[in-house]
Amino acid sequence: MAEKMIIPFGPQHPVLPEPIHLNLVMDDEKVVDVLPSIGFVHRGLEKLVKKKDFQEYTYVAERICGICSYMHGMGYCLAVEGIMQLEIPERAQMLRIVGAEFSRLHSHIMWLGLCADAFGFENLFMQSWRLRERILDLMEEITGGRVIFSAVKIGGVKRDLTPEMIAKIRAELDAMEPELRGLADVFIDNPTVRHRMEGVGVLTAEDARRLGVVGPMLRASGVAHDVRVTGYSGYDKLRIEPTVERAGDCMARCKVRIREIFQSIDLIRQALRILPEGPIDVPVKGNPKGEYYARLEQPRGEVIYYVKANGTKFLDRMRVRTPTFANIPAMVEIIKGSELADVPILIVTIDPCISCTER
Amino acid sequence: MYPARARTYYARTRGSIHNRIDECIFCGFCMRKCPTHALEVKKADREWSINRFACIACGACVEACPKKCLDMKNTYTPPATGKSIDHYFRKEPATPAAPAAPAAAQNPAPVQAPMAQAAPAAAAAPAQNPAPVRAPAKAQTPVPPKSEAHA
Repeated sequence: MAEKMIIPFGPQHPVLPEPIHLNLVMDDEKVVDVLPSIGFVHRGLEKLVKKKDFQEYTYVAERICGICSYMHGMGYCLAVEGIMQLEIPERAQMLRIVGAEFSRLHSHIMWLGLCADAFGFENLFMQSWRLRERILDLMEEITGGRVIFSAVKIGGVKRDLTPEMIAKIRAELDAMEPELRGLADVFIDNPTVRHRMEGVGVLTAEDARRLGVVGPMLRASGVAHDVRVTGYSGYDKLRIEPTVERAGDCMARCKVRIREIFQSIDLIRQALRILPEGPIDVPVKGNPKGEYYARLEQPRGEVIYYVKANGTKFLDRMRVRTPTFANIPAMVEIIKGSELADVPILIVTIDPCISCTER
Repeated sequence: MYPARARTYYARTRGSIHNRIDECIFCGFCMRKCPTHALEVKKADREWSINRFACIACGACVEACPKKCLDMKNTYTPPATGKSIDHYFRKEPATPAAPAAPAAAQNPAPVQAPMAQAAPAAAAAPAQNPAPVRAPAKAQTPVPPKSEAHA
């Protein structure tokens, strides 16, 4: 019987985009238990709603996380608009969708890079992020920011898309698609990548449901659940199907995210095709009163925004249930029983966004 | 030497905020809207200052400015070894020349707006000459004699 020992993983680790600490209880090279501790990036942002004007809080909501920034802003705005029952113009809804799908694109390409880095394939990591740079440059041209797009406000969007920008988006997406396919082929076909990812971290559909998993992790285990299908904020005008894989291992999750990259490109093209003319915002009068529950599909899964307002310009309560928070129990489950060398890839496979988790 | 090729920024890049101080009326709306409290507006000293390292270049001040004198330039604040506050001072015009007259006529009425709780009628009559006298008196600034001369 070997001696058990504890290896601390994180909060600083090359593979982690944000700090999380895991105590891995090891039995030789096998992990038998995982004790997570989160709280390194807690900034008390939910308490801050009581101190900032509800319109000003949009800037804070966008900065909950750098990677999912756009959809945090969008989720907050959707929740407050739901309380105030504002009708967002169609053009603004489509522009929000374009921004949201670009946010998903950049996040998934970033994830591909981190996944490659997790098993040491640095060249592939650099190539993925090189492609991601083109998206970030495009977003800077359109919204003004590379990572914090800051394009959504309560009532609509801040900036409109000019016809030249629309043409440029189309041209860039057409140019990037073959390069992205080349990148995806390496992930799917390369024997070393497959060796590291196939059969690793299998999560069955029953376990996924039991643990309350969301997002690509759920869809990779065979459950067809995508919040965009419910048709919030203009998604009902687009053709969407959840991307589902059956295997439930790391390779399946990688495939789901790769297919979602191409699905996002398709959704952007659809949105630009049906982009109607019209105003991009509605004026916001008065203060919100009531509560609302907004659900969005962030790159990492389903995010829930619960907002409660009491008629003053400060909100009473804002609660964000981020997808990574829902996926951490599943991460703990799949790490138990795995080899130590697989732990980085298993952590990255849930696409951890700890800043979101710990607001 | 570095970078080898200078990066070209886009027109909409949110870089840094600059104030065309000659058009500023020091109403303070930008200061109120700033989410990071990076702006400080001193009406009495005719000073507008921005803490470059607290500013997140969100553009809330640009949208809030009633005179649209704030610009979002697409160049970032250069990195530095110490935090800095940029002060913009509005100099008094030397003689009551033509540009000064419209400035004096515009100045008093909007300046009254934040203090207009006690005198809403004054805010409703922007172009009247008695208005300039009231605003500086409330603010108790050393400026009143000069602005009367300009009006």
